[in-house]
Amino acid sequence: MTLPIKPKAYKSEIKPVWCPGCGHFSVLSALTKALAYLQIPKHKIGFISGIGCSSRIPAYVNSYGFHGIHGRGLAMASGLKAARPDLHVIVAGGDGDGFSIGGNHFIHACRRNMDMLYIVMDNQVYGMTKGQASPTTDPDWVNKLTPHGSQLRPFEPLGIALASGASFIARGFSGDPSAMSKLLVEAMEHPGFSFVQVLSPCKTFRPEQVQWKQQVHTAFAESTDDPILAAQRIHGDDGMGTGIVYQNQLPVWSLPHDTHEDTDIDAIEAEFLL
Amino acid sequence: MSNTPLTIHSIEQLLAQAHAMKCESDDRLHDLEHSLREHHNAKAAAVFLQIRAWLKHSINDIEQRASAMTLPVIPPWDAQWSCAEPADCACMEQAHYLMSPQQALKLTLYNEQRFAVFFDHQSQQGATPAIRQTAKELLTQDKKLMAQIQALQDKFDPDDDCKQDDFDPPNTPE
Repeated sequence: MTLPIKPKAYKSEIKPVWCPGCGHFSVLSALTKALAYLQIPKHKIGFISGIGCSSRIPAYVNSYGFHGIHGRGLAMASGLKAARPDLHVIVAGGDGDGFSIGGNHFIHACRRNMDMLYIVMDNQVYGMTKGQASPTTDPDWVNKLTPHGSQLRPFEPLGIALASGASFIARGFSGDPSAMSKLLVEAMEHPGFSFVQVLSPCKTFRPEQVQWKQQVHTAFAESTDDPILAAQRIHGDDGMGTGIVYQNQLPVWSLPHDTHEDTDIDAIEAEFLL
Repeated sequence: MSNTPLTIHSIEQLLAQAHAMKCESDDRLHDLEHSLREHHNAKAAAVFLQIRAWLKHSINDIEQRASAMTLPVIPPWDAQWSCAEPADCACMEQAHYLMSPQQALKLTLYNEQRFAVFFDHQSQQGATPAIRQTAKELLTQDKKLMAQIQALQDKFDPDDDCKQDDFDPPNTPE
């Protein structure tokens, strides 16, 4: 029996501590399938994250990784990609990490359009700290911590990504891991900043999100490279539509070729090391 | 399963899909079992551990059947089960850290039933007699697994569906 590298080979020995029923399990499964499909060597993957339930994911993937600080996954990943352009850089986090404390990094990562994949597992809540409203939470979601709701208009990740210059923008759903695998493959094959928002229910703090399975629908069967059409799609979207919203070939930022050659590590160490 | 699975055209394709589904199920149940232990629900975790042991027999059987073959690589989005998730892994969102053993068994039985629907369809609609025969044999094996799950169900209180006391409840609306 001849089998290629199995998706399981991309899983580490560390088992997830996410709550049973959490959508993030499916994201991990879809991601490992996508990596197996592309047969990316494990030592060529740099997996970076911030803080939160979803940001634990680099520990569960058998690759190089760094579980960083809150909201700074993209900043670290940008540095890694600049220094090691040969790596496949993947960044993952949640809606709180990516759109609140990391919101500024999100905008500028889109603008730089460096070649990396950014997955945001969006469950519209801060789960790790027991259920506070996040930037994508509906204004009328009521719980003990926001008894009157946040009364704030939700952040629009796809619209912000488009306006900021991301060249690949898509939305997937953890309840459809097969389609999500395909999205992730296409995102990783795209040269430039690929942003994938994954609707990933939080079973514990947002149990009503179990209904997402009935609400999610394929909205963007074909991608467009027209930003105006993409903007119209996003504007007319109910937040539950999946697919590639926008994909365009835009200039990808990287360090000039001679930068690495001119770098004198000894001189840098001499200047900065105590 | 609401959607009808598509027709399989070779034994290799059938075994590749069956293998992918069973391995995916084993993997996901392994994650779930560990997660339940982390959440101090050893009883439900033990159920998934037992089911994984039974699943291993199915996986070994498929691997034995495929020992002299080269199985095709089928991307998950090209799989023929025509539903969002592999049959064995559907409805994982129904898992909960307070789930009872009875609920754990109901979840796995439901997924096995979906899996049986897949094999049943192939045993009737497979493109060749050999595919239909292999699918029939795999269906028989799956029915045996379902019977094992049902026998285990009898050992637990059938009304044990209510959630346990939650000593650290989430901040959900009252």
